[in-house]
Amino acid sequence: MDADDIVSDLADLTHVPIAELISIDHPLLAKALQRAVEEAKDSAGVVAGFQAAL
Amino acid sequence: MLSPGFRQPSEESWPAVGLDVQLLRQEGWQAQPFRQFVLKLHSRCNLSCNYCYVYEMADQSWRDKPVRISPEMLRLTALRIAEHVTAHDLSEVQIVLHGGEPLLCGAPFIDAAARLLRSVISPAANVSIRLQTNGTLLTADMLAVLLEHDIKVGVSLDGTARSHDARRGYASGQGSYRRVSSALRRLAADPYSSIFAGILCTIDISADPVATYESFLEFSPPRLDFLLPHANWSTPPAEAAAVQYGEWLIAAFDRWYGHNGSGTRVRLFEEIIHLLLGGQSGSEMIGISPVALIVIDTDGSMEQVDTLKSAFAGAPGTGLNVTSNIFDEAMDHPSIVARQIGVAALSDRCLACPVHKVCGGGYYPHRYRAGDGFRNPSVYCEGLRGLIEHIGRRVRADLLGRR
Repeated sequence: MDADDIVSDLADLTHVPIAELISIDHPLLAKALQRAVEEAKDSAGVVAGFQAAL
Repeated sequence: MLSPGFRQPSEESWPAVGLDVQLLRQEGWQAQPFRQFVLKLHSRCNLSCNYCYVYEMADQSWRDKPVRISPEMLRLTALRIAEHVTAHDLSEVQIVLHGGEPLLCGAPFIDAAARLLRSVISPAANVSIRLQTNGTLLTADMLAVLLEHDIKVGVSLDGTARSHDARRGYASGQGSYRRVSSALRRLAADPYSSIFAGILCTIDISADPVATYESFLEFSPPRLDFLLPHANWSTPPAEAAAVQYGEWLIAAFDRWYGHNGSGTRVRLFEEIIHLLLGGQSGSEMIGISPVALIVIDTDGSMEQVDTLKSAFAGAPGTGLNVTSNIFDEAMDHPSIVARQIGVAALSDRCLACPVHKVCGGGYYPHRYRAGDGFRNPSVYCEGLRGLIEHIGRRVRADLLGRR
């Protein structure tokens, strides 16, 4: 699995509402998403950030 | 004006040579004011840790420093910080009381220092005070002073008694685990838990990573951080290859992440996840966020992060001193600037790497190579990349699996 595959897999997540993204059933990741969303202001920014980082 | 007798470090390499600060400014780059002041209260330590960057590595400047900062120097430092805060309209600064071992100053001195720092700086900005200690001198008197001044305490502990005592002992050879663990139990309980900042662990590669992580949980630290032993391309990691450190951290991450982080927060792992999600790093260890930190030694000298002492003698020096310089002068020092320019400080090899915005080239002192300076990947590059990609895969799987 390389970075391109990951970016492709995640592409549709940019359309997921913030509330749904943060309600993920994984408390640690939910907290991390909450922090990232607060910085990025929206879930699209978070996922775009994730794509850019990989 | 440079301090009398100061000689620039002999290393004529990047960033001392090749980073044109004036040009950067002409192009519109702006330095970040300092927001974190690491204040060395005491230059000696009561432990003799075998990997210590202050006493056991390239730089031996501690021998020429005053044992303890004088009240006059402390007051002057506080005034300089207040001046910097006012000039840059900062609403908040952090002061980290450091050493050597800062608690060797004794409780009355710490009490007076905290009062002085707050009385001089607080009118201009909120002051949070932290203290990093080896934990051997956290007596009842000391804890009472720290609590009174809301000084958050970080303690160095290297895992199990076996790991810790093999590395963090007294000069006599006796280990310090028993005393440190006893202090940690006091710190973790009321009324002191509010000032317990966390535990710093330098990785013992010969120890089991899961057992190491779990050994901390009995102390309920609010936060834990794993540090890679200080090394660089000219003095590589002595005990194992970089990739093995990555594997060690991956095992610790899987234990932590697999239990939803329920035991404690782990700064390195949280920062990597945050950076993977596009955030800004809150740690100088990883990422490309500007580092706005300066060290003031017991003689008033302004220095860069003192873990640079692991690179070469004089590496942290700026030639500036609070007696005759203001902090703004240090903001023009090439090595300070190098840590504030993001990807522009990275090597070509880093820039070609897909995870460079997450790792940020790794910890700055770990990038050093004699002859060409700090524009290199971290000597732990291979291990860091493995760790970041592993965390990326775990986070990705969970993000996709939520649907």
